[in-house]
Amino acid sequence: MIDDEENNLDHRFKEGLSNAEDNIAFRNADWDAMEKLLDEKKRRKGFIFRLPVIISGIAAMLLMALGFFFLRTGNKPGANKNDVANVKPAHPNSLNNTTDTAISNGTNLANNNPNTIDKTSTYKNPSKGNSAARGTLKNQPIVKNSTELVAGLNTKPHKKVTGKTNGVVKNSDIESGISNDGKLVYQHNGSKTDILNTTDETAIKNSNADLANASGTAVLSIDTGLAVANLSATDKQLNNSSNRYVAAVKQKQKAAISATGNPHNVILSILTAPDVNGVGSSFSQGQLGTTSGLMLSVGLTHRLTVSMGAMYSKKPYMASFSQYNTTFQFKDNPTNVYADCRVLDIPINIDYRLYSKGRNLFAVGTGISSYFMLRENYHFDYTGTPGPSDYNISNQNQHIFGVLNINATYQRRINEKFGLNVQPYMKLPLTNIGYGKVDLQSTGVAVGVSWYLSSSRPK
Amino acid sequence: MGEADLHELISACIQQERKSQKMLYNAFYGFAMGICLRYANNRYEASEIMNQGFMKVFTSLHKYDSSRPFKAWMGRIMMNMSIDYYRSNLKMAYTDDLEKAENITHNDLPDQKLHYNELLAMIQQLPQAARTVFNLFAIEGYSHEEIGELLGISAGTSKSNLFKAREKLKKMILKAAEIPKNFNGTNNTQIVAISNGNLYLGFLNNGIRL
Repeated sequence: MIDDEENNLDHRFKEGLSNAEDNIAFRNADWDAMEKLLDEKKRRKGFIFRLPVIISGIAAMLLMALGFFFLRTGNKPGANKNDVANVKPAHPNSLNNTTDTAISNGTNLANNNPNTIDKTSTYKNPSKGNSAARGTLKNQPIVKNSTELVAGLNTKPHKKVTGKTNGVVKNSDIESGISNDGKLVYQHNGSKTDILNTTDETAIKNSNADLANASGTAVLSIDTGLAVANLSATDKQLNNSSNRYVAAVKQKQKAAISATGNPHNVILSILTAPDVNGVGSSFSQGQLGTTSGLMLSVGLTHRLTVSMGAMYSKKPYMASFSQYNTTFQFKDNPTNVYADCRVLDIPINIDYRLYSKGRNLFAVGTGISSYFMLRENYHFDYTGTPGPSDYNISNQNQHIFGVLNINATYQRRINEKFGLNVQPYMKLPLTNIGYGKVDLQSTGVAVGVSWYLSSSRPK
Repeated sequence: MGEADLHELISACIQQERKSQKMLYNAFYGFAMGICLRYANNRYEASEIMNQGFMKVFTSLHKYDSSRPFKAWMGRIMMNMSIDYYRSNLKMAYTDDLEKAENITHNDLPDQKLHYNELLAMIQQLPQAARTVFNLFAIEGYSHEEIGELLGISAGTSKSNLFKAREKLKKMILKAAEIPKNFNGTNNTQIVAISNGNLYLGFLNNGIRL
């Protein structure tokens, strides 16, 4: 009995609703909405076709940045701790001690970049009785931080210190070290001589630079930042080798100097921000959201830096229905729309350094962002007759270069590698954002940490 | 529209000719809208679902097997789109509905013939979960196990929702049958016959879950 009744009910609805086509009138508005969907699909398809190009571009930028970073890493001190300049005597009688332009911490004074100094020079001193000396000068001495040191040398060119002794140069006869004012000093027999300027505190400590030549002449030649220890000034072969070496180094340094003209810092920043999102020109009804992500910056010049990255944002906002656009025909329009959007923000910014002194840096920047609307949840609020309450979509809207970024950055370097950032910013739409096509603006203050993957020390 | 014409139209739509797309849209508008209306809360939502369904049709036409009925293929797309549209809210709704399912007395259904619009209005007043299950079981002909798989719920939950849908529909039919009595003045207090527990909020807000 109950089953019959249920079947009867089901049948009644199935039959009654089967002739829908006769009871539903065509509405042009529906086709108009359909056409818009088709057009949007076509545009998205175009974007998808361009996507490989866009991704390739991004990948190329990242590769360039990373490649640059790794190249720079090769310049860093300590990259090859075995590179200690040694001039070792071949003849135990002629050289009492190893002639070292040594570095106590095992760090080479020289620029370790094999592109700059990659030679192993062997100085052969033909045996001439006790004066015979043979030494090996490995990856020649002296510069820890090529960028700064070379820059310093540029202003203090070609200073040669020659110490001559007629006899044995004992241990500690020639000493080098860092004076309090940051100058690399070689001391020979108590006469203090500035050789080069460096502010590198970690660098060079040569506590036992011993030079001994039984035949009597010790030459310490330091030319634009490179010390060449000549065991015998009378040895032409040695001099010739040394001259060739110095010439080669000069050439390398010239290249290095030109490269250091632009401090191509590579900086990875982690940022997070509370921000306020509002529709229209006012943030009076703004809703608090969050943004966090990574930015990779590459210095173009001393003042200009280009940055790009990826930020994930939660963007809630409230808009009156008049600010919200939809093809959906509401029976009775809602009064307000509450939106909660999850957005992948891909910014490309350029920053101009206004002030940089000591550990403080202040910059302003601008750029454009692309919004990828990952998820859009809209809730409709009614005062009168209620209608649809929610509408949710995912991955349907992308706004390539659709948002203008304006920001200011204050950075405080905490050490050589890291800095703390405070970055007030605004994001102004150049196009209508999201399914609701709203004029969505965001403003906030991002805080974060910058990691200098490749850089100079803070001044 | 003959089979040959239809296939010609489909071929043109695969080439993304807008004019042909509009012709196909016009030709199957009523059929597609009829399906979407049964699952949606109202005409406006149905339009949105239907257009999403047509988008799926236009982008999947190359996959259509012309040896099978086009209407059945399209109908399945519209149904799936309708289910997808509400899927995010359905599980929650099913849980709620299961707890609220209740028995009402069984009365013989009046023989009064109801018009399409009246039946549609009744279906649309059902809670979303009950409406979906009723559509799938009573109109599309799916079993509870199949519905469970489609909606990600248990067969028991499907049965419970079907039960609830039938009870509410019966009540609506009975109520619709009582209306003429009102006009005759024979019964002015039919609202008294509905207990508070039976008075579903959907009547007050046009069946829309808020």
